[in-house]
Amino acid sequence: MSRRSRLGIVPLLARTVAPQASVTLLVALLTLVAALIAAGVPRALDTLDEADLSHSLDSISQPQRDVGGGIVPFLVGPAPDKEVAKLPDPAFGRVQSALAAARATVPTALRSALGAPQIVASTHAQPASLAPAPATPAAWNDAVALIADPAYASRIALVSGALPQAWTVPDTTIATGFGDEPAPDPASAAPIDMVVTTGTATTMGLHVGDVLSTAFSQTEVRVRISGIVHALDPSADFWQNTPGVLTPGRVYDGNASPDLTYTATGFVAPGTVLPLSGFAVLNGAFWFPVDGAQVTAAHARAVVDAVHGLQATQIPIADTIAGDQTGTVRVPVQTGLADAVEQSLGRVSALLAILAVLVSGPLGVVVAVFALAVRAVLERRGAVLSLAAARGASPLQLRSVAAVEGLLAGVPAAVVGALVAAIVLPGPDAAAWVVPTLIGLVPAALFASFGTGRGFRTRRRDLSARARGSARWIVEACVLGGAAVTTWLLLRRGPIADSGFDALLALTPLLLALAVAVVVLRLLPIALRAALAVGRRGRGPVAFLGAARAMRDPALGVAAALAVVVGVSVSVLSSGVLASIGTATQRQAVTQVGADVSAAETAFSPAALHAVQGAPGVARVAEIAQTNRKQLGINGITSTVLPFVADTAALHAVRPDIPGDLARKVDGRVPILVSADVLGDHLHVGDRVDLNDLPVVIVGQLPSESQLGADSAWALADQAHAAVLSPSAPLTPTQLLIALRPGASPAPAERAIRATAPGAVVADAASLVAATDAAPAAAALRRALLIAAIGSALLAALAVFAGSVSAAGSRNSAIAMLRTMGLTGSQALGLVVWEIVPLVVASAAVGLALGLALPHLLVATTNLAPFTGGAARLAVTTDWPQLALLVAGVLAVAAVATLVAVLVARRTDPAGTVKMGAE
Amino acid sequence: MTTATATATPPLAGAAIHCRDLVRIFSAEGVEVQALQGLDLDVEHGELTAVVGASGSGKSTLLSILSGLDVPTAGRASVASHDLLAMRERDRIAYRRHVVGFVWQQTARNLVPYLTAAENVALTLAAAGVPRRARALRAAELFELLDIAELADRTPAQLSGGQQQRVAIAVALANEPAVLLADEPTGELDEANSALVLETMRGVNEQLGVTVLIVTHDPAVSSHVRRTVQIRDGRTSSETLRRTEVSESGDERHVAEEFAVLDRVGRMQLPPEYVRALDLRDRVRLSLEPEHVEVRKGDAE
Repeated sequence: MSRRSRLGIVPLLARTVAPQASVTLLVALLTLVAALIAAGVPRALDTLDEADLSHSLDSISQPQRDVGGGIVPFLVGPAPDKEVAKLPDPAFGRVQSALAAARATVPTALRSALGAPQIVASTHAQPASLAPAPATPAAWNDAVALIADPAYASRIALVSGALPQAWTVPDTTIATGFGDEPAPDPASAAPIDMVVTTGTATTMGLHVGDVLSTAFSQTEVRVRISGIVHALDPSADFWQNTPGVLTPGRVYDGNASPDLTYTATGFVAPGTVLPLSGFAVLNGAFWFPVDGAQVTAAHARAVVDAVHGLQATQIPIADTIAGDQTGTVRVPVQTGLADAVEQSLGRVSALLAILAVLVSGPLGVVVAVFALAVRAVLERRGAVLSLAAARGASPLQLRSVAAVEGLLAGVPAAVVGALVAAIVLPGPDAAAWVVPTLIGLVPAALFASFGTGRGFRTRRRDLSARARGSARWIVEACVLGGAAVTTWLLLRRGPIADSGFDALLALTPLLLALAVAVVVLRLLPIALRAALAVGRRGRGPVAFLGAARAMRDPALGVAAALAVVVGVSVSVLSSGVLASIGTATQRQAVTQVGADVSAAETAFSPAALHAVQGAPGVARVAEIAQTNRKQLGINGITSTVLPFVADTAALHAVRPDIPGDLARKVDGRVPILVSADVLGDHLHVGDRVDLNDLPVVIVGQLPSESQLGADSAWALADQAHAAVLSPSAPLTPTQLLIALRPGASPAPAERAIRATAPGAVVADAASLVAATDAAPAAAALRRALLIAAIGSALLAALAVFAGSVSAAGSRNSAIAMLRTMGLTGSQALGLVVWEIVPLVVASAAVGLALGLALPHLLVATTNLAPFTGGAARLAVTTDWPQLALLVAGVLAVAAVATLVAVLVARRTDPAGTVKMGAE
Repeated sequence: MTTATATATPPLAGAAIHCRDLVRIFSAEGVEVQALQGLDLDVEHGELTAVVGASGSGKSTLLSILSGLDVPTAGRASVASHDLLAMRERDRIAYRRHVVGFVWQQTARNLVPYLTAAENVALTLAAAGVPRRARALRAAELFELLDIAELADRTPAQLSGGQQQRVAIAVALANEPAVLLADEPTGELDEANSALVLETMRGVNEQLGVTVLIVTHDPAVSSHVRRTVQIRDGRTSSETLRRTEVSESGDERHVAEEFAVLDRVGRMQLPPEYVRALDLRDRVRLSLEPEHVEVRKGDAE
């Protein structure tokens, strides 16, 4: 029974297949890798754009994210008639109804992320005094501001006292030209009730019942603390949008007082707004809280468009001009939402573009290797298939057997690949299974289409060589032409923002790699022919035989050359893009911070400076002081500038972009640098003007945001001239720019600053770089580049090995035959070196050249700025040590492949080879 | 002593193998190789024929055409009434399955390695769609017939060259073909094994009545077959017929007669030794005599 079942055509042919399964296993392996990539990449990208988007939204604060704006002055009044029933608030109704209408008109994508509009109206902070004055009058010279929020009661809980009563102003009769008329008189009214938070009450020493005297628009009023409250949810969006309410605002004005002053901002009853608006200027602020979770990658673009649309149309609010006449006030809208979303979209799209570039080359190689492997499998089966065909097996029978083998090789491998991808990157998307499944069927299809055997008759190779030759020329011409055309098109097109996957950009590197592989394969024989001519004259057989074999029986063909070119070039490209992005990110961070580390404080003490200079890792410290604002100009046409004073030689050492030779006077004038904002119609570089009454000459300009201090209109002079700039008082540094030693951590310097100047605001480039790199798309890009660098180097190695193995038969028999003629082991090694090394070295060399050129193409055609945290176009930089390592790796692989090949060849039995010669 | 005798080649209706003016040209850009140049050949049912020729004479091309693996450029060819020029792919498969069987020179190429002798036979039967049950029976029957039953479970690697060729004959005969084609079946064998293989072929020819055509460059094959056809430059040039005569005294005598082949338009090739002996070149004189045709040197007078 078992014997009979073994005699079916499929089991019989299958048994001929089993002993030669090694190449089939290679096909299975390739299928697995392809399925893994096909299943993994979409999953990874799918989760990636969501992750990057939410990262981008989380990286800005909630108030920055909210869609809001200011209404100055606040438009008090009820909603239009028809909406009164819905929004009856007599003070806020008008704005409330306008905002609700605006929200209703924005596209759904944005509307679903917008919460109910929040509105507050507040006064400016006004100096106030406790009335009656306390025993120590100097103790209280702070300010007070009033804020009204229709929903304030829901945000707070009373700690003591009572919620504020709506303020009413009694009318007083005042004389006008038309007789006596009643008019409100705030001065005679009762105090305005307000509640403050416990934070404010504690800091400012306020108690329930305290009465503050102040004035709004010169109208004196009294404000009474009716109660003290605490926030129900201090982390809520509301408190972030209303700074100074939860904790009192701080003001430092060295001219007015040596101490900090505080502003108590308290809630008044919403109804207070109506009488208040009669004489005080009220600032309205509104915002729609944005729920970041509702902004998904799927409609991120729509959200951006909707925000831009809203910003273009603004929010119309009905305004009473006079009497019954009404007009419309359009209120501008601000939000960081669109920028954050766009930044993420830009990153993801650039990532896609780069991924496509990174993948296309290796994909071409994988396809080539795949085809080679399938052909190798069928080559091995060829004799059996041909015999079966000659004995009467139909093509259908043969194809079925080949297809079964292809199914066995492909389907389990693809399933494993897809499962691994699904386990590593879980996602519910059923579509992610389709492509891997199709890939699993590819080997079966390829096997079935090639699996009919060659026909039993031996081909007459002598007759077909020339026909193949002309076809090769045509194909090669197409490849070269295609590469040239796509490159030209790309360069002409230039960078496209948010292009995402770009077929042209993806195809070009592959075509370029193919083109240079073609050139290598065309030029190498010429070099080998020269070597052959030299070898012919030489004494030893190795050079002659080696060159002849390399030329006439090449072990490594187009696929291997392509694989090495692509492998090396993608590796070098990845390394180049990584280095370029890394350098640009670092440069951007340093530009943004001003140096490796910067610190700002009201005044740095000499002790603090000493501590910073002595901190480990600190290379140089530049100190910048500032004086009072001065007028820069001549003949009464002046601009206000903030003069900075620094030792420009030291500053130059930290900031090479700033000239370091401002100490010497120019023609008796003090040389100054100014920010670009200062220059304009009446001020130019080279002008001889006055800074207040000091004669100066403008010797240069720098970008306004040079991070020398917190102003964009400034002038910089050397500290040699400090005495003339600030005759009254010596200047103390307010800003430190610190350069670190290469590779040093900013932490010790920051610790030193914090220890000696606790109030200093410290920023460092390293954490900015870390924040930029933390974006999921940026992290994914770095990972992808790293994988591509290593993976394609491995691919090149694999191709060299596979090529060497597939040529083993011919090589082994040649070497075995030559050994019967007395070839020594080292000569055999020499022969194999000739076989493998010239092609690998030539391909690696052009791959290296291509890899060095490709980043320029990529930078010229893809906007990589989103990965650097800035907007400037990248400069291509190269990490030479890493590159040397890569090239050395590829050459080492070639060396190992050579050694393995020669070891295998030397184990071949010469007797067997010579005897088998007939076949 | 052999006399050269011309045989006319009239078309044989129902011949097992029938070739007329067979031409096969291999060509590629500017290069043409004419492997067969108007070959005529007829082999009758049940005949055992050898086609002998030097390397490059076109005999392997002829066999490729007869086995249905190659298609002639021009001419007519039929095997067991199957027109080889008119067959479509499906017909060719059926033809290979049921009409012809073949044995090649390289012993290793005839059999699938990794499969035993019996399985090799079964593979051929399976390809033809013979029911499973019948396959083992048929294999056993063939091995019995060829007297190689003890080899049935051995793989090709475990067989000698002669044994491999005999198994190959069994494989070729598996589907009861009308014609058995053999391309240099003894090319890799020593004399004793060659004789054994050729005798096996003669045996199956006699016992099964299958038509056998052996292509070889080995003149020794001729002594095992009744009819030997010589090919030169893609054409049949001469034929040798052997017969056994019994003299009046009862002695058996093997007689071999060599004939020149005359084609339909009257062309024939002179044996090279005749041409050499009389130093014939360029032009010769022909004269028709009552019983024969005379060929004389052109510059004799």
